Order: sequence, then C-alpha cells, then structure tokens
Amino acid sequence: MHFSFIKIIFLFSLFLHSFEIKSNVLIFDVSQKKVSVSSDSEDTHFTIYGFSNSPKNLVLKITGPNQKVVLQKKKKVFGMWTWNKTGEFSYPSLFHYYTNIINNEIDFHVKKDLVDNIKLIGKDDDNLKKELIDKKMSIDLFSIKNESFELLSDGAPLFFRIPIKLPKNSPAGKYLVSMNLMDKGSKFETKKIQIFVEKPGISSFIFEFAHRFSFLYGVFSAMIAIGLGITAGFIFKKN
Amino acid sequence: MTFYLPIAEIEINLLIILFFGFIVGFMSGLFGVGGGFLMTPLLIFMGIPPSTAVGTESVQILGSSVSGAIAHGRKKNIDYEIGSFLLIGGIFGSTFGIMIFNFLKESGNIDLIINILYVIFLLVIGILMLIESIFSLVRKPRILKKIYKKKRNFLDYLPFKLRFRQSGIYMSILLPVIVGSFTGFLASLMGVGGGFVMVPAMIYLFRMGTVSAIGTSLFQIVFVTLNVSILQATYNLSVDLILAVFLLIGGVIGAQYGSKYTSKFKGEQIRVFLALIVIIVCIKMGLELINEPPMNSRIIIQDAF
Repeated sequence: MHFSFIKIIFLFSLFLHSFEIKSNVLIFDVSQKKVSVSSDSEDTHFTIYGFSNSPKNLVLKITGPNQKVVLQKKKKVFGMWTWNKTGEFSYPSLFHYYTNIINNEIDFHVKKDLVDNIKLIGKDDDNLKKELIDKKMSIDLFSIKNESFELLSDGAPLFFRIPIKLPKNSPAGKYLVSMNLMDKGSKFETKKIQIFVEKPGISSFIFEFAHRFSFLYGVFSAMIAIGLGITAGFIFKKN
Repeated sequence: MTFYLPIAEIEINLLIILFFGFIVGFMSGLFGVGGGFLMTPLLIFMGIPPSTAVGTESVQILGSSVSGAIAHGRKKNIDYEIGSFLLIGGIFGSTFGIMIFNFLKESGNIDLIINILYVIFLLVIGILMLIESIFSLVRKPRILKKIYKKKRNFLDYLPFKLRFRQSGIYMSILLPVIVGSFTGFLASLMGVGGGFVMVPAMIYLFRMGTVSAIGTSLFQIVFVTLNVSILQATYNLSVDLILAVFLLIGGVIGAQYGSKYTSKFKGEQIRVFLALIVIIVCIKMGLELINEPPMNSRIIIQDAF
C-alpha cells in the first residue's frame, strides 16, 4: 500500500515535469558568436534563430558589458548653467529587448527587468533610474523592439528568426543573449549565450586603450605629440 | 570626412578640426602667442566637452612647443637653472590642478569653472592688450633714453636667494617656483601653456632678457604639458588623441603661414586685432555660461568592465 502510494506520487511528479518541459520548449541560437560593429555598415550584425512550441509572450534580451557611470542634471547657479551629479550607476552598457508581440504583460516584464538590472550606487531612487533609462533610450543603447520576430512557420510550433542590428555606439566586449517565455505571471528563461562584439577602427581602439590602460594611453599620446612636433619642426626647418 | 571622436564622444568632420587648427596656428604665428587660450574656447564652441577640450589641448601644446624648445635650446636661449625652479613649481601646480580638476569633474562643475576662468582671463588680457595697443597707435613715436635704475621692492626681500649665472640674476628661488606653480595650475585647469603669464613675469619680475624668457618658458611648458597630458589621460580620461593629432597638424601648418604675415603689419595693429579677437571669444564664452543647455541631463562614463 505504502509502495503503491510512492509510485503514484513519483509518476504524478514525472507527468508534471514533462508537462512543464513540453509546455515551455524554447530553443534558440545565434548566427555568429563574434560580431563586428563598424560605423559605416548598415547591415544586420547577426541573426537569432529559434523554436518554441508555444506562441506565447517571447522576449529576447541582449545585455552589453558592464559600466559605471555618473548621471548629471543641469542646474542654474547665480544665473549660470552648470551640471550637478545626481547619481552613480553600475549596469550593462546596453539593454536591447525584442518581443514577438505587444501587450501589457510583456511591457510590464520588460520594463521591470530593465529597472531591476540598473544598480544605483548608494541610495536607491526610481526617478533617477527612469531618468537614466530615458537618456540611454535616446541614444539607442537601451531599446525595446516589439513585434520584431520574423516567423518562419504559421502557428505552433513556432519557428522564428530575429535580425539584430546593434547601434554604432555599442561598446566592444562580451554580450549576453538570452530568451524568456512569459505566461500569466510565470517566467521561463533560457541559458545565456555569450557573444563577443568588436569594433574595428581607430576610434574603438583609442576608447578601449584610454579606458583600460589610462596611464599608458597618456604616455602614448604624449609621445605621439612630441614625435609630431619634432617631425614638423624638422620639415619646416628644411623648407 | 565625419569621424567619431572616442573620448569627446561626438561625431565631427575632421576637415573642420584641421581648419580650426590651421586658423589658430595661423594666429599663433601671426601674433607670436601659444594659441592655447584661443583653441580651447574654439573647441568648446564646436561642441567638444570643456574637460576634453582642456585635456586634449595640453597634448596639442606639448607637440607644438617641443620643436620651439629644442630650437631655443640649441641657441642657448634657455636658462636651465631658472627653468628647473619654474619646472618644480609647474609640476607641483599642475598636479594639484589635476586633483582639483578631478574633484570638479566628479561633482559636475568643471565646465562651469573652465568657462568662468576663461571669461575672467580673456577679459583681463583683452582689455589690457587693447588699451596698451591703442595708446601705442595714438602716441607719437618717441625715442626714450631711459637709464634703468633698479629699484628694490618686496621681491628682493624674499628668502632662499640664489645667483643664476646665465641670466646674471640674483633672486629668491621662491619667485620662479611660485610663478611656475601658478602657470602649472592654469595649464591643468584651462588647457593653456601659460606663456602669456610666464613670459611677462620673467621679464618684469625676474628681469630676464626677452629671448631667454621665451626660451625658458617653452622649456617649462614642454615638461608641464607632458605632466598634464599624462595625468589628464590617467585620472580624468579627458585626452582625445585623434582630436589632438588633427589640431596639431592644422596648427603647425597654420603657424608657418601666420609667421610669414607678421612683417606685413605693425606690432600695434597686430595687438589691436588680437585684443579684439580675445574680447569676442570672451563674450561668446560669457554667453555659453548663461545660455541654457539643450539637454536636461548627461551621462559620464567612469569605468567600463
């Protein structure tokens, strides 16, 4: 009697588990794991290919490398305009969300996820976070693109593809791509796929060099200036 | 030829940078001034953040003054003893200035301070230069036979006196250290070489010869701007190398053409013209202070990891 009861419980849990897996199948992959973002290219940088057995609320999330920033707001002092430090943040430099449909649930989840992932150093303040999000949205580093899935099949199971174009000002570094399936308050998240974004060109090299090896960058800049100055002096002396 | 400046974080046409570098270089050659106090405001007017304009200008001044310093060194126009004390002061003043710069940048007030400093300095220099040059133009030329009698003043009572053999001066070492500190401080906060303060100070306070004052000033400027460039890049991330290189190229070529036209004008005419330019730049800087910025907030990236 006791054994039969355990057997029933085991079979029932297996059924529930299989139901969960069966109802939330969401698989995706990226077309390439090394992406080059150049300033002159207008093409798609990479494509997400995926499959889900349920055409529910699907969200693709891309996050950029972390950065620490200061938000400054304008302030008037004795009739003159200046900037006032209002908050210090630590957060992924880029947040891009792509959804298959648009509705209140998906909108709420995406915006909540965005706010939750921005860490305000010191005292928490949602208004400051909102200010920062608006600012980042204005320069395309944060964005929510609804109804951006290109369906490759009709109805369930759903095969889809999402063309991704990163903005020109995307920082180079490690990015994480993940997908979420949302259904009536429950959320299923896939494992994260890491991609590496590189930015060819001198601008990106200078940015990385200046931020990662500031002292060496300073010495290098000074050496370049001295070299150019001496070369110019030599050329014009000859002339 | 639009290019994204990685540190200034704006897209700009490099031909415009070359052009403005050329214009300021031309004026430097024409007027015989360093040009830092004209270039930094011009960069700010072009939309470069003031802190980046100041940091980048230090690199440009380093490049443009190094060949002049070498040339003066070859002609033995540099008093290395006085230059060393100016340099000690300059390194101290500029390092202290960078610390202040960093504090002001963190608090968001650096742009305001840079603009205020420029308005004050340009106003004082512009008015003094205009008055002096107009008087020179109006006055009839007179040949003055002035027997210079050295009057003792409070500077002669300063301690730590030393005899500087090359210039034949007996003065306190505190004097070049203080002047050097002040110009070093200005170099770090305003992105200038400081020659417009140092050369008159050396001529009137140290009683050095004009050529030796210019040579020694350039010697100090090279090492102080070297210090400022490295510290600005290290602590304030405010050196845009691409911007500096294009300014340097434009400036060096412009200076060569400018110096060719110097002989075509009277000294007083050139000074009136320069004074008017300085006053116009000063008014524009003043307007920048009271004009409301178009954006409500801005983001400063401190660290990427």
